[in-house]
Amino acid sequence: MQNISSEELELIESYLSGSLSAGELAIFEKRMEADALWREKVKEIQLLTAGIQESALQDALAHYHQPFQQKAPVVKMQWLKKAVAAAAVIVVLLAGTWWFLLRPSADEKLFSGHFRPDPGLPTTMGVSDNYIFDRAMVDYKTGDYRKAIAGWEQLLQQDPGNDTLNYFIGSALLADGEFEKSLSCFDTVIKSGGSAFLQEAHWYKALALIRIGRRPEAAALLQGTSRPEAQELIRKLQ
Amino acid sequence: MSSGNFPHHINSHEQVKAIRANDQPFLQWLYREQYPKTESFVLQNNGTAEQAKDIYQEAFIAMWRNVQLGRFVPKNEQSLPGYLLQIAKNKWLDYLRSSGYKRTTLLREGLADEWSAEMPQQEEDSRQEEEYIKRVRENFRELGDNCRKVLTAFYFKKESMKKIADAMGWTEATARNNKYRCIERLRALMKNQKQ
Repeated sequence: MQNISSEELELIESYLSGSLSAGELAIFEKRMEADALWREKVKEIQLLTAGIQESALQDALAHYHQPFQQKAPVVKMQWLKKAVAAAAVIVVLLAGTWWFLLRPSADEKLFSGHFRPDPGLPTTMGVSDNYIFDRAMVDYKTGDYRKAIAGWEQLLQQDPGNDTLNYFIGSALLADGEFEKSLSCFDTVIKSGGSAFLQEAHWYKALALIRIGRRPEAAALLQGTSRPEAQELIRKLQ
Repeated sequence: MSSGNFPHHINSHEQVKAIRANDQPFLQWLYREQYPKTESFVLQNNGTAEQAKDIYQEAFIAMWRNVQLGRFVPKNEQSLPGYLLQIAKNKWLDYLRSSGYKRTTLLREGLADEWSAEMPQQEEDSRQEEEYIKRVRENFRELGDNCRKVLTAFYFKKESMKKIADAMGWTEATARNNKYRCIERLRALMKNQKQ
């Protein structure tokens, strides 16, 4: 470690912060050119002060991030009492409105009690040639259903009867709340006969039918599926 | 560059000056301007909000460092925010491809390469510099309270020796001397760690 005097430190600091006069700067730069040891000292101080600043910056970033934290903001105590009272009134009003206007129907409850999206197929990097299919499957698994549908529909244009594509487009539509639209996709899978997705297509079509209030059709469809939950669901439908 | 309270129409030259001066309102504006885009990118690519925060803060420090050391010079007022976002995305894609991230099924190589192709490879000497700065950060945390306060006030907040002396209850000469001693202590810590 080279010795750096207090005077040298201050001179290097002035250079780094750009506060040398034109004359001082010219002398400094000449020394930089001629003296390798001096260049090393300047570099060392530059990196040291960068590291010191980065430590401080790191602390500042935690503060900048506060609005994005998911925790509720801290409320001062004198506001808290008023806020709690106001919130209580709002909660009662909202709950009342929700209960009278927006309460879930029996169909909605039955659907949400049984619906779990199909987990999707594994995608293997570099093995499958079907990049678009795999890419859409990744979107599907991460819950970006619209992007997944767009990808698979691109492929469906070349092969409209494909059971795998229809099954997963149907699954994505259902998970995205497009219950009616999902029906025709599951129908295509069922009509294709012998599909590996036949049982699942029956099950998810039945759930879609329940969700839109077509219970008798759903019950009939469930009779033909071997899924263990089907019997329980039939019982609830009766 | 659509929202925010900072008068962000300052030109790229002024942006560099603001970064070099650690101008708090500007740094805060820049941070908050680009974070939501980073978060949605990470969430869409199999990450969590917590991971988005970590990767973004690393990216922010890298951007800051490259501006400080003159490695990145923005061409226009959009360059700096764009550069920050690009570093964050690259860091996330690097993480997805790293051995720490075992679920290789999730992202295709091709997609990752599209992004990283836009960033030149860091040169070996700048990699060494980064290692060195990382060690400074570690050793800085080992210093006593007073040293950390003085060095932060002088180098990060750019406060005058007079102001620092007043805040610490010292004379200006003592403040200057203490700052020098603290730098020497930090250099000694760095030297001992190296051996």
